[in-house]
Amino acid sequence: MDRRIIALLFLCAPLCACDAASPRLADSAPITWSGAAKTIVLATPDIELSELTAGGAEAPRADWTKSAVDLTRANIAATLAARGVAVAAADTSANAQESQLVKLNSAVGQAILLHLYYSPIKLPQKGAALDWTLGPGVALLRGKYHGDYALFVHLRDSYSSTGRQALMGVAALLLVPMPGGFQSGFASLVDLRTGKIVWFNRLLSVNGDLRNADDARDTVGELLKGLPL
Amino acid sequence: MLTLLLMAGAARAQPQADSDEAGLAMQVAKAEDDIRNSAALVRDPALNDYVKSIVCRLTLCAALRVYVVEAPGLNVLALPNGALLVWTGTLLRMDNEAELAHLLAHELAHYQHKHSLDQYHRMLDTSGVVALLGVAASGVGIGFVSTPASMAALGASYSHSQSQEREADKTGLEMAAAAGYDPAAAPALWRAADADFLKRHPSGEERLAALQELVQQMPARTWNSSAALPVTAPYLERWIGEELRRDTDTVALFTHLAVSGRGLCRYGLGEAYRKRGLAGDAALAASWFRAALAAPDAPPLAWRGLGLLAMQNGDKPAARAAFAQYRVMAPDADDRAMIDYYLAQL
Amino acid sequence: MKRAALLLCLGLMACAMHSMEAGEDGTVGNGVSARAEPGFAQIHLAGMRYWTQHGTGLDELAFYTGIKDGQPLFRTPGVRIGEMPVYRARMTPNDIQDLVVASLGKKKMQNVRAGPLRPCPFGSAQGFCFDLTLANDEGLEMRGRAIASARGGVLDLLVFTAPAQFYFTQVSPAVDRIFASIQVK
Repeated sequence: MDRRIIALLFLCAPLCACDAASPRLADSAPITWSGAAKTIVLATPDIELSELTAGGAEAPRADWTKSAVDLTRANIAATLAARGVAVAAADTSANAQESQLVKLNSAVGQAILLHLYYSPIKLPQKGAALDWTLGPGVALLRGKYHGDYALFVHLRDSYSSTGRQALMGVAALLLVPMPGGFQSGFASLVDLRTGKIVWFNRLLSVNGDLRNADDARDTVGELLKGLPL
Repeated sequence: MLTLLLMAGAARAQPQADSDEAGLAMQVAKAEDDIRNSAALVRDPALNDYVKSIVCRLTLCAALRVYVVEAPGLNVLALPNGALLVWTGTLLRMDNEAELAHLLAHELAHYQHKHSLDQYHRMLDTSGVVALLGVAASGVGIGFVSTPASMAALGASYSHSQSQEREADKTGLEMAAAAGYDPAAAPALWRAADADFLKRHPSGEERLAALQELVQQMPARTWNSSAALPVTAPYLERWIGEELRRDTDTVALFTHLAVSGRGLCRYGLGEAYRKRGLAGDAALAASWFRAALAAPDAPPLAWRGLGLLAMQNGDKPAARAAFAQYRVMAPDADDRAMIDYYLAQL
Repeated sequence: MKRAALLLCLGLMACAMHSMEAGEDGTVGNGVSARAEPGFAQIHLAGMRYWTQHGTGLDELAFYTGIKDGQPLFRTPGVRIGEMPVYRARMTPNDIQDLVVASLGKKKMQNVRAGPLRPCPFGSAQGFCFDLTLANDEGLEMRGRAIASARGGVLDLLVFTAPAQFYFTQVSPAVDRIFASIQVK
């Protein structure tokens, strides 16, 4: 589907019954820790920032992206440290199995965005509940990094996956038009003992900017809103 | 001159953080991360070592990484950071090691001349720009480069100009010749190039003529014999299957491959005709299946081809006979339950 | 311009989606029907029809029915109609398996492998089925199962795909029951 159609759909965005950024908690999923130490595993933040050039192309900015990944990691660690939670940083891109978990979280996250946040196509059997899982395969993260939960962060300019292509016009509503660019993202907290996603949040902030420390702190704050840790 | 280029390739200064080159470097590093984890990579050490060994004969290779991508079609791509992607469809098409070496040398020459960076700059400056990791074509942003299609799209963003092609031809030829590969293989391999590859490497008659001239200027000497690619034999059946499924007209490709006399390649040509199904193709398919069975490495698949052909043409006795042979020659075939069903119905 | 956008938006929002009642007979085209299992929703949008429990991009049971000679299995955004492989009435089940593999590749699925090919009942008709392994365009490993029948030169096909991790194993028993419930006119 070409960009003109996507642009047209952006005009519809305010008309649709789309939920503004609102974090979701899974029903009856209280946070529990298996021991005295509270540790969560932070998957490599899946972030990519680019700028629109005068020529109309998207040029990835190495400096922006590196800052974004570093600042995101640092702010998450700081936020959680203030709550007495330690962060075990996982280099998930370096390992095929861990990488698969990140990809699975990306696919599940996109289904959540589509069906939970965009109300006209809610899944009747899930309704308004956050009821998704990554399955028992998450145990490998627990075994290697010794955390009870894992936090996944995805932030990109757009998503290209297949099943979504049929609904791409609708999926385009996941992108928020910003002056000069788009941004969309989500974060999820997964219980590594069950695989269940216990918290999910969509980033939908026009002022969100991961390029510098102050704005990054605000953006991460937005992203982690309602995080039950 | 060649030595200087090799040194330049080996030691690259870090680009400025906010430059286009840094942006490209980030994009490419991320692409390589995805590629390294891709389901489409062939991880067989024998195959990878073989391709790497040719690269190391051509140039200083310590800083280069070779990836073999399982996908049909002719393609080889050197990323600006020293990652070299080689499609298995390429390995299928190269008649001998010299052709493969020349193709690799040509791509390495582009890399050493930093042609991709020039093209990248040009692309950013042009309005109405096209493929940047598949951006404009499908309206998606910078996606994962984990599929052969996205790797090919990445390559499409590094299309070369005619002058870059001439430069790469010259440097590549010298590189391969210095490593002992017969220069005559260079013009030969371009005949194997398909439309997609030629889009990136514009190749008119003029260019081939220029290449021929360069070849003729090479000093006469004894060249290493051009052996056929050894480690690809176990993969032939699989790669042929992938080409046949492409739903393009594969008759030309397999006509070329069948020259080798290998049973599997003749089978491929038979299947190409059977799938194409134009007037007269059925008879040609049958003759090539039989030719495959006459080859030393008579592939059981040729019996299946004859069976499917006969079944499609309503010749039940012939189909029964052929399928029965297939079941005997390939008792563990993946589709044996289906073939047994055909036999029961015919 | 704004008006066209509005209509387009409303049209898309009116995508038909409803949950299937357990035991409900869903007619999925060309006289083919299958009995729904509990928990599935049917999504019908832009010519694509599929059933899913957990959502788009996760478990998807897609229906491609009434495919005639010269037609592709489906349309996919970004791929011109002429670039899609097409069904031919003379195709054998082996060829149709190849067609499914090639078509999924156009949908940006990768590393698609199919087999073992075997005869399977398609309602009261004779059909065939095969399993799939593949990856989505982000590289997520997936598994699948397909069942098909060609009658009178017209093809009906059901293809189920889901992430290999957890989702395939969780949903495939229900899919097997759906396949077993297929009825043809």
